[in-house]
Amino acid sequence: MKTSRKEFIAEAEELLEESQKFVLEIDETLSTGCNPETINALFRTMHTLKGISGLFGFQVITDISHALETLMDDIRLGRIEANREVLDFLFRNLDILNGLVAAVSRGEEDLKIGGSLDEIESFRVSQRGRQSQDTPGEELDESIMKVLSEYEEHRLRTNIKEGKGIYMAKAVIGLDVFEKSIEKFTNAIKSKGELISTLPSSADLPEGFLGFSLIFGSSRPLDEIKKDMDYEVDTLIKPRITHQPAFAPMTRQETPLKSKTTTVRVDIEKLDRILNTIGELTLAKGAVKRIGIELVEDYGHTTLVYDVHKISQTLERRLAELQDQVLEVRMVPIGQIFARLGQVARRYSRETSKQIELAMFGEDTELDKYLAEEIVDPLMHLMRNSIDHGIESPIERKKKGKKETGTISLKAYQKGNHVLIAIRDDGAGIDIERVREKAIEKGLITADSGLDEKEIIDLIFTPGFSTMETVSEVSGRGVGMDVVK
Amino acid sequence: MKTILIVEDSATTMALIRAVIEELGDFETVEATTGFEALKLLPRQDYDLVVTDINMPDINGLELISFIKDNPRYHALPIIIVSTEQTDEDRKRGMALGAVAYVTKPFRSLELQEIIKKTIGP
Repeated sequence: MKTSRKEFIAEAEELLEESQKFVLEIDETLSTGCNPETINALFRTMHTLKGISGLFGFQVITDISHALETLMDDIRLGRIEANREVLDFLFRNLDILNGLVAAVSRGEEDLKIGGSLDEIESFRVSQRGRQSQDTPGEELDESIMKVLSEYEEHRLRTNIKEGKGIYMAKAVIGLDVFEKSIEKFTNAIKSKGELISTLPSSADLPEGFLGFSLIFGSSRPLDEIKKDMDYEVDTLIKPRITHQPAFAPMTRQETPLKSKTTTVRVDIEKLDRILNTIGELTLAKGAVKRIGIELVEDYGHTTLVYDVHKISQTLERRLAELQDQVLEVRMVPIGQIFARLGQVARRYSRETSKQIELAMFGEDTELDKYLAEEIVDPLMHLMRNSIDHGIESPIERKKKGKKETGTISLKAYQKGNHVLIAIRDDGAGIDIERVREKAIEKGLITADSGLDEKEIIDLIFTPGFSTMETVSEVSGRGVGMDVVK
Repeated sequence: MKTILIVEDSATTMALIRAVIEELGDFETVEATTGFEALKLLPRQDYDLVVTDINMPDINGLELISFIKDNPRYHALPIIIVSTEQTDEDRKRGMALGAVAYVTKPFRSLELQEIIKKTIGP
């Protein structure tokens, strides 16, 4: 049971990380119209979290994820509008869940949570002003309707209500090329509209083949849909309007489907063990190489000796490859870390009433998982610091003629063997005089030590250093910048 | 030996269902983490039971059940749904499509074991 508890923690963390990513994604697309698939994916992650925490008897986590799931269900069924307030609320509660999972991983048994549950429920009720707008319009065939889940039915009705056409594409796919074909097929559909349901059909087909009917909504007319689609398409309901939204369908291509089916989760310790084994193999390889050299000395260049030499070279090359491959497996895109920081930034900007925009660059830059985890805290400190000391209040910024919203940019890039991470803000900068005064007050330097600007800036990396007059919720406890160094 | 196909996208839940079935006795389990995978696995061998989740990323459990029940080859294959109940709606739909039982997550292992025994014998 011990290992499965570990599995639970790993899966729960992964689900929460995904949820945060989805909420961020929804947040970013609020103005352009968010992708229903993302909202559904968010609901599903919470649903799974509720399921697994229930199975493990972590009642508190189950209760909260259940309450959140109900809220998310209302969002995906269109009963609650996804707006900034709702998303902030979700963020806050995902944080609470994160805290609870962390408590589980520390081995705490007695999880406690305050009034959160009632809060979620009353929030949900307060948001749920309007009733479900699923009024029956044109209906599809009964045999189709009965297989749709409640959510799919809602999406179907929404598409009809928006005047979109409902189409059904039919495909027969061989089992041997199944994954590829179905992915290509669904992507083709998603580029034209919204995939609502994938129905496998049981029609009489030759051995080794499967038939599918894919139901989708689109505002395009049939002849345009048929273009570059290799499959038969029927109209179930004709579109009432046939204009195309500017971006929505294109962004719908991404689905979390793939990562779910093709990735495995591996404990980093296991990878370390593989690296250790490779280390031992490298020693053995060294011995083989040495024997090869001794053989040359003793027997000269005979065929057999030459073979030993060749094989030891191959061994050397392959081992190096293996090592590189394992190291590569440990790499994660820094975007994962940035996403977490994004969440922190949102929260702190709310707490400090400062408006922050986060710009991220180089999210695909990869670095070792272990390192990535190690740098989260320092980066977090830097960001808090930027928000607290750097970015000014909107009023102050306006006075200075700056944009009211401050920008913090996170940038990662590779330079040779190093990954460089730069964090920068367009705030007030470091007040050199204040730092100098504080440092003198603290006895770090004397009044007459002639330090230049750079040396003074370096002082902020001294443990215990803070120029803040009051200790704020965000930063200013004097813990921070030294961690960064 | 009887063979059970488990369809479940959460690794943790899968592990628990597997453990519950193993505890029950001599069953072989085959696992699919998506509805698509289940479709691929179905023709490969004969199964005595399918245990499936409803909420899954590609084709959902209801679609899978309808596929099985509409196909003369698999028609008689009993299906148990193990899912977190969201609304009563999905449970009703699943049963209407021909599932023999709906077990709500979190389930007690005894409960699931009883239902499996009742469905396909010890």
